[in-house]
Amino acid sequence: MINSTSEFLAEALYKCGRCSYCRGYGAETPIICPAYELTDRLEVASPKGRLQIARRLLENSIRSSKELSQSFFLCSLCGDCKDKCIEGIDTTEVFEVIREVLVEKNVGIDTHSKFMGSVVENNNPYFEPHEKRFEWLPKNLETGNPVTPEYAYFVGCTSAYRRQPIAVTTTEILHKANAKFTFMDEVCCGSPLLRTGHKEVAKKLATKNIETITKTGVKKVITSCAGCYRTLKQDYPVLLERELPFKIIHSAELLAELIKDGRLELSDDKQMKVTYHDPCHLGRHSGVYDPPRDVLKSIPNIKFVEMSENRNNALCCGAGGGFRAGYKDLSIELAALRVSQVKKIDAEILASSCPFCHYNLELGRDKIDKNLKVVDITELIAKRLL
Amino acid sequence: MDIQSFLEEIVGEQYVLTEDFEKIVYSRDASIEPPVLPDYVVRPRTIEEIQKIFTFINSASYNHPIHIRCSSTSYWGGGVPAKRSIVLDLSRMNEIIEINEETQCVTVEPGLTFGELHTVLEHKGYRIGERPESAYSACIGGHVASMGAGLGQYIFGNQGDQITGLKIVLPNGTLLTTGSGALENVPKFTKWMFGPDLSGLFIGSEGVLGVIVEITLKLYPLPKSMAFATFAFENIENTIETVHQIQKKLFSIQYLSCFEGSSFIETYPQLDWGTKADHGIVLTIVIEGRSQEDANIQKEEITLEALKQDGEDLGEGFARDIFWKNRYNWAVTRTLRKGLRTIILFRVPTKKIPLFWEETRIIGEQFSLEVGRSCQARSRHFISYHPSIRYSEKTPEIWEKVKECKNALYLRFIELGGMPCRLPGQLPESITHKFKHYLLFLKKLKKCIDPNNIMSPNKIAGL
Repeated sequence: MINSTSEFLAEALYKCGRCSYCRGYGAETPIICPAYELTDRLEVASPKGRLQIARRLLENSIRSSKELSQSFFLCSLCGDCKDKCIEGIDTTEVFEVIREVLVEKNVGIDTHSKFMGSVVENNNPYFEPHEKRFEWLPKNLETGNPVTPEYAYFVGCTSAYRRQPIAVTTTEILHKANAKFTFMDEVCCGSPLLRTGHKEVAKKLATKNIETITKTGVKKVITSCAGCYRTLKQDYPVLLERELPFKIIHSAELLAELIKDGRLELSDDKQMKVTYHDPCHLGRHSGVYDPPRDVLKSIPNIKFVEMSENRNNALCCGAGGGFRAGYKDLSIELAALRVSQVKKIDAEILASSCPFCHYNLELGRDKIDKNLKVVDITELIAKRLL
Repeated sequence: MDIQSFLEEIVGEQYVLTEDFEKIVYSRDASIEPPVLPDYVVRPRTIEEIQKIFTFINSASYNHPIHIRCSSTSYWGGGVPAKRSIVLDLSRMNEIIEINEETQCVTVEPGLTFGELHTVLEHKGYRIGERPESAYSACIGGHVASMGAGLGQYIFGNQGDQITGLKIVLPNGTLLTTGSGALENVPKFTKWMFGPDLSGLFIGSEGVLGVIVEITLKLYPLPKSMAFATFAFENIENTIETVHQIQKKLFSIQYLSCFEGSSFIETYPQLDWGTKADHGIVLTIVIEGRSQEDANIQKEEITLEALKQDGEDLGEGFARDIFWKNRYNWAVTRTLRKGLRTIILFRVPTKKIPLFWEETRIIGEQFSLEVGRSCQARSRHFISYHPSIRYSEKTPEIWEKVKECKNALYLRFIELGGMPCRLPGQLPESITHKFKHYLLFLKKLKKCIDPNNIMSPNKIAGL
């Protein structure tokens, strides 16, 4: 049933020796596979289980079905299994490919198809009108269309429609740093579609966004969303089979640079104990761990503490990979599990650098401790700007 | 009532798996053995559920053997079910039942992984005596049932020596408690009651006599200090002579392993491997001490032995920075680094290892297969020898050749005076015949405890 990507799949799937480490439990990483943990250790929900099923699909010895497809969609594509696999199997890539096949066979997840429809119609997965994409932008923060902008700010759907304060604070910071930047008529980066088996639609979005960005003439694109960052930086060159004519920078990276260069001055405030949640798409998928930490540590009177599950061992917030749309309750349960790890170190503030993580962690926080503040690092910085 | 309805009534519909795609993931383990699809997979949560399942299956004439499964990280086929099996997946039974600091014991359910247990124990300043190098994924129940080996065995003994009591559900559904815990109001501090050691019947039994549903293990304090050493030798003879001299004395060795140097140099080129490792043997030792001074003194004495045999001192690097850091997934790191391997496990008198080493090379060449060689001192009294044959999932056509090579190694090792750690049912009669009397007694025992033969057929040859 699987043809054009057979070679890639065969290479990956025949490497798996079923060692079970991908769903193991270790010291620094008490949970490797969240789906396995949340389903009461159901083997078909583990990476090992999925790889075995995928292999049978490749060998045509098993038929796809709605029930079978649950095994592949019950996964946030957090990449922890890929990070831990001794054989170096690119598990997330395998699962994305299988998802494409399952969607082609009409056994994908209904909620994913619905938001895909919203992206096609409204350029965002939130069923919001495209015209309202920049409703969050107050007049005093409009850019005035600089002639030669240095940056384009790719806001992203979640910041634009669901976590608007992050878009506002990122823009405030850019203004404060006297950065010459512009907005643009962006559409969804395509990440939700790539992760849920709708690659062809994602390709069209990529083409449109690249055209739009290119028209601005910038060489640097900023985004404050980890999902957009990973998609623009890593997926677009593969989708479009070419190098991008500009650099993609996450707001955490930019902030670290601006602070280091003295372009942002931060005020003092009462001491706060802050920890950081590594978004999967920024951390494990893209290797960006230090800049957000450098930013947090540079804020006066912040006591930065690490959770024991940090960096490449961070537990997923549960939002990404279509998990939130497909399995809302489990997604929030996972976010709550992540928040319970925060509670172990008594942090007052949980900072992150992804609006989607922010979104889900707040829901998880509500189940555990409503006093815990969940913030984006841009929000922390914006509050302290001098 | 049909089996599926019966099982669903006991554990709940969502915990009985019948679809092919669900059962596929239970059809293999980490070995080369081909898949066998079970008829049902049932995922109980409590001992009572298991008792009901066994009582029913044992009394009815459905002819569905029961196969016990935890993590299925077996490299020798122990996790592959028999045809028409009902797989009993114990992964939902994963709690720590009790940490008893007074008796220095911990009681756990079989589906708990060593990694999870260690995460909790280390926070309290404890460890268990022996834990496998696949601790992150291996479950305690499976390890006990297959008499696994691992870190700490040299000092504390094997997993069987760690047990102070078990609970077992017998094939007829009866719950048997062994050790002092069998008496009401007595803590589980020793496996020795009056009469023979009943725990010992089930340790290493591969599930053929019943299912282990609760395990109590000894606790130890975390080591105070550690020392690490790595040496390279020109040949296996010098290496083993060093090991033999070490075994004659009383050192506190967490881990001692010998492997072909060339197999690791490629993977860790950043380390200084000296001049001998490339074509010789590397000896890795981890020592624990009551103080750093004590650990260092032991290390100095061990180093002297190594130097007497022309060993090259490679420092701490590999032992500390590579092995010890990855000790809980070392089985995976070591075994699967360069592809899949099937492993043969033997216990061998130390001084015979060079002979085994050479015979392995000869047989590997005869079959034109790559056979890696390594061994570990798990005790002062013998060495665990585990050659491994490389294979690929892409080329099942060579699997028969790999198995023939494996059988040839088995036969030769037995002839040379080694003791197999496993005697799986897939082995030919030419090998199992050598254990005729031992197996005859086991068969009689099995007949007595499992007269309807519902438990894990063929996990031990002939049973």
